[in-house]
Amino acid sequence: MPAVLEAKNVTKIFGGGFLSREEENVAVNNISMSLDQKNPKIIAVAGESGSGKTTLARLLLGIASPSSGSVEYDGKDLTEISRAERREFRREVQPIFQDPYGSYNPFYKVDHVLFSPVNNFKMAESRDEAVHMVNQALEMVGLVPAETLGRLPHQLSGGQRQRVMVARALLLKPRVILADEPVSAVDASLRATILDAVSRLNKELGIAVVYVTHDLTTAYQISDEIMILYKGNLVEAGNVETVIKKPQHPYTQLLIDSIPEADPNKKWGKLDMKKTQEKILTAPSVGWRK
Amino acid sequence: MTTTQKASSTKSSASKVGIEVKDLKVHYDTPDGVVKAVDGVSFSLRQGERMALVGESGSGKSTLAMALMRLTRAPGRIAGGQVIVGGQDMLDLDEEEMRLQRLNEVALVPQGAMNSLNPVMKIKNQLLDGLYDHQIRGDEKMSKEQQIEVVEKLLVAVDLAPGVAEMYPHELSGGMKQRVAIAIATSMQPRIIVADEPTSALDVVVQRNVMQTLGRLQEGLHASIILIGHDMGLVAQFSDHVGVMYAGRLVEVGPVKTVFKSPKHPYTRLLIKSLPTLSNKKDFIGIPGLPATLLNLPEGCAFCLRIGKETLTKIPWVKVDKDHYIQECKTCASYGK
Repeated sequence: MPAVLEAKNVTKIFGGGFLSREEENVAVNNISMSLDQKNPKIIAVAGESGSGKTTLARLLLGIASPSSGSVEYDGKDLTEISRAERREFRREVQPIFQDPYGSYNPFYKVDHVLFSPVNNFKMAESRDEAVHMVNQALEMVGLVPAETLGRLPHQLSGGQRQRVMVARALLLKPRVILADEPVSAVDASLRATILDAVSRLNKELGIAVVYVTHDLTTAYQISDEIMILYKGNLVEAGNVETVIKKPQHPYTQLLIDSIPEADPNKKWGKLDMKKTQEKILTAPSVGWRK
Repeated sequence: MTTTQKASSTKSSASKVGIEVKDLKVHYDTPDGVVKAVDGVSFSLRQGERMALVGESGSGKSTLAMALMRLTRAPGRIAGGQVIVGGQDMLDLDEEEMRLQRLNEVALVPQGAMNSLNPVMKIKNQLLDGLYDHQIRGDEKMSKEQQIEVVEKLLVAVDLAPGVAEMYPHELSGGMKQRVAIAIATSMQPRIIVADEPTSALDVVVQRNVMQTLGRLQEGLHASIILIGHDMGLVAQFSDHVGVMYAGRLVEVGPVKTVFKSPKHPYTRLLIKSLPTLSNKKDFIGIPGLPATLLNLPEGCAFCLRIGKETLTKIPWVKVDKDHYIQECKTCASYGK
């Protein structure tokens, strides 16, 4: 059985075209990953700004096309699938974006983002069924339908808006959810509830999740596997427990060392910055770890 | 006051009070009523110490930071209280006197330095701007050599290459811009540095570097620092004291080590519990309910409202340990234990 979604040696290069004076920018360099059908997991794609994590997410969503390599959906190259298949792909692979406010039209009630995908993809037979589905999806992400529906986006908190987005994705019965920094615009105290909702979708409904983030702590909390990106390269990946607890690549080590832990007795930043940065430049990729 | 005089006066004032805030109130007048964004906040900080003010968005922490600089903008207004720095209540000064205090006595490292620099001005001119404005060198202009020397000194102090002087903000990375902002803030050796989420837009590795620089400069100047933020991890690592804000009020103040080890207010407890860590996979739960709306907030316990309770009497401050105080509300005290 082919993977639901698979990136095969994808590379994305920006700039540096025939008449361009700019230098080439390799945003994603020869990265492979796959989302298993039988055993749906949460895979975190982690890295700092400029690491290529968002570009990788866009490639997986088919919003950008790779300069070389391919992204395959059910074993078929995304650039070669038919219109009908593409429509199916759009339903089965659902994105959740960073800014929960930007995904709404401020003039429409939040009902709009929930009911229009149901109608577009003919997910419900009748109006009643649609209402039932929406209520169910909202409850699944920990929202009370009566307090959510009928409101305008600005009347909800950031955390609620983002959870409505998770509910929206859920309505389409996707096989994959691709969440690009879903909690970085949300207050720290509300992050837990959103990530908890995402992780429940994985555990209870068997939806595979790609969690793109710069935050290693939340990645560690919810994901099964992690990929660490640095300047477009995959430097270390594998089981989240192994990578976080025993990082091998100096960049992973530096990242983990730089996270301020909420414990005043733990020392922050033990590694020597200059030496580590020199090591990063020469260190080879560690690859996938068990 | 010249720089040399001030440097010697700070030395003698070691372990003295750096800033004292008494019952500070900032109100916003809205058509629906008065929003008390900062509602009677008091705390004091010794010279050379670091204090962090934390809370969710809407807790009033940034409004408080702006009020400490007396930069509150309409419809907001400082409705009462005192901010005492070096024996002087800054709220008593007139506009011109206050202008001279900024940078000289109290300086701000703004939130998102990306947008706080002038895009069409070279970095060196932005560094000198404040110095000229406060006429630190008398009325006569500095010579070219002096300018270069001063700018280089400021840049090197924040780990930037002297060449940055000739650059424009768009040529710098986020971390470099934040360093420039720190250089400007410390250029006149202030007693108090107010840092409003100075690294919230930066990557972790850069954040660590920038905070180390800020800490080193603050120690060198023996200045007090007030760090505003919501990142409890950063607070735990950087500051000596922490004040937790909820709905415009302080609910717990104390030394970082004690507060993190045994938080006494239920809100502080939840705030610490809601943090994801790299060591424990279980302790990661959100804070239930929504932050309080500040409009027509009752006198009593604001946190009770969040958990569906009500306490209308005024909540007293209780000392639980050395330097450690909480607003002790009997109704919600044991919540989330």
